[in-house]
Amino acid sequence: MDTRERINLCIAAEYSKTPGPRTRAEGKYSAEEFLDVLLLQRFDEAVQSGKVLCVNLDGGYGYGTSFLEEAFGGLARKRGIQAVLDSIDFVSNEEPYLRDDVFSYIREAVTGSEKKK
Amino acid sequence: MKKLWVKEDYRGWLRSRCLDENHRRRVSVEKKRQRNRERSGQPAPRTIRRKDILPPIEVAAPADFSLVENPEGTITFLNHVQSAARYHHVRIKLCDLQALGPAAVAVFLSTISQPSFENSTSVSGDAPNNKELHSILEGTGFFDHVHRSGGPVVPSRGAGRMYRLSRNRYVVAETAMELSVFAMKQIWGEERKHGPSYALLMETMGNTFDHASPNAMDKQQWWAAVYHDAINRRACFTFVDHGVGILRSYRFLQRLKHWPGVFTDSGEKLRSLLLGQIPSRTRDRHRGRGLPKAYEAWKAGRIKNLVVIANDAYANAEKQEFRQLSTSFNGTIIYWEV
Repeated sequence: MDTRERINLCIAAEYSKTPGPRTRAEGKYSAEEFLDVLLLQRFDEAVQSGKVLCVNLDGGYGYGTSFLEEAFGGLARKRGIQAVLDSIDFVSNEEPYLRDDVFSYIREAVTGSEKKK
Repeated sequence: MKKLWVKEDYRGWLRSRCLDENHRRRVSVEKKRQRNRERSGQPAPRTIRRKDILPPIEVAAPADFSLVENPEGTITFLNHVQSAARYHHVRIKLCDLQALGPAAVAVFLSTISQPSFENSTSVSGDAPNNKELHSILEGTGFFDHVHRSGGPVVPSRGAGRMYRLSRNRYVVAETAMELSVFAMKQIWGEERKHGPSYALLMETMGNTFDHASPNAMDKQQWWAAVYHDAINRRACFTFVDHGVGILRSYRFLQRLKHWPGVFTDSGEKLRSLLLGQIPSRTRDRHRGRGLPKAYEAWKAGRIKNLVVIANDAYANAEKQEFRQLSTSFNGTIIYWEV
């Protein structure tokens, strides 16, 4: 069990209860905006202070696959898969399967070009 | 001479000469039109509107008007209505219906609400003689979008909502939220959320807007509908996209280039797509997860009775039926129950 201190991020309370599409161009409350405005900043803060970022997925109306993939897969593409896996955790009591889904998005967040290397 | 041109009386003369020339030109054109009309013996085409001379035609809906149970018959009927409406006012016969599915009502409404219908063709129709089916039709929310001219109003068997999606992409999340909360409120009697339905609505709507070209955005329409069947205690969600359809979309055709095998029919293509077997165009594993996730949600029991119709392909997850239809729908239909 990870005994490190936690920094909490509740998407419903701090961002939106109705998380939107993948990119800003597709609509409001997008994953791209969430990543740039909130997630990257909190994640970097957690890594620098040696803490774990605990993302709470409860409280919202639901999450589109593309939102979760772009936000957390996007974080892994920007900061590295292992770095993200080491410093992030999720709470999803309302939809428990989301936790595994998000971890799979992080693990599979590689592009074709990176895979070829 | 220059002084003369700027004098007020000269400018006045010039103005009246212009007006007179314009008048004479107009009279000349009108005389020519009149002469042509007399020669041809036809009434002036400009005085008759197209919608006033279109003949009526009656189109009967299939007895089993359901996209889940009778996709071929229902799509053939919808295609027939569309083609008939090009040159006729259409009267739809629903009186002989034996079965009625909420998805068929949503697709039917989306078909007759297309801009080509609204401009020149009128669509009218009767209600099913079967009281139960009539009450289903009442409950779907169909009559919120069409004009009701008399006829009996029967108590509805359920409650439904239908949304014509705006070209404004910014309403997508609110629509998904409203539909999923409405369905849960009907089932449980209180406002609840349903994450899988919200996710699937977001994914289908987002994909549709994402795939449509800016030109297509002006012409195409998307409908999202939910119907709560009070007797069977189920909520039926339908999403309709009158676009090119997944199987004929540029993105899908590009993705197929990476597929090493050969498909024998469209049903097999749709099956591979649902199972997430067709690689992405750029081999980005993180894209194109919408339909595979819907199928996973069905497998995990979070949604029931998932049906996808894309062009001439039909997939029914419950029956594990993936086949090519004998007719083709121009677009994509996704239906599921909760």
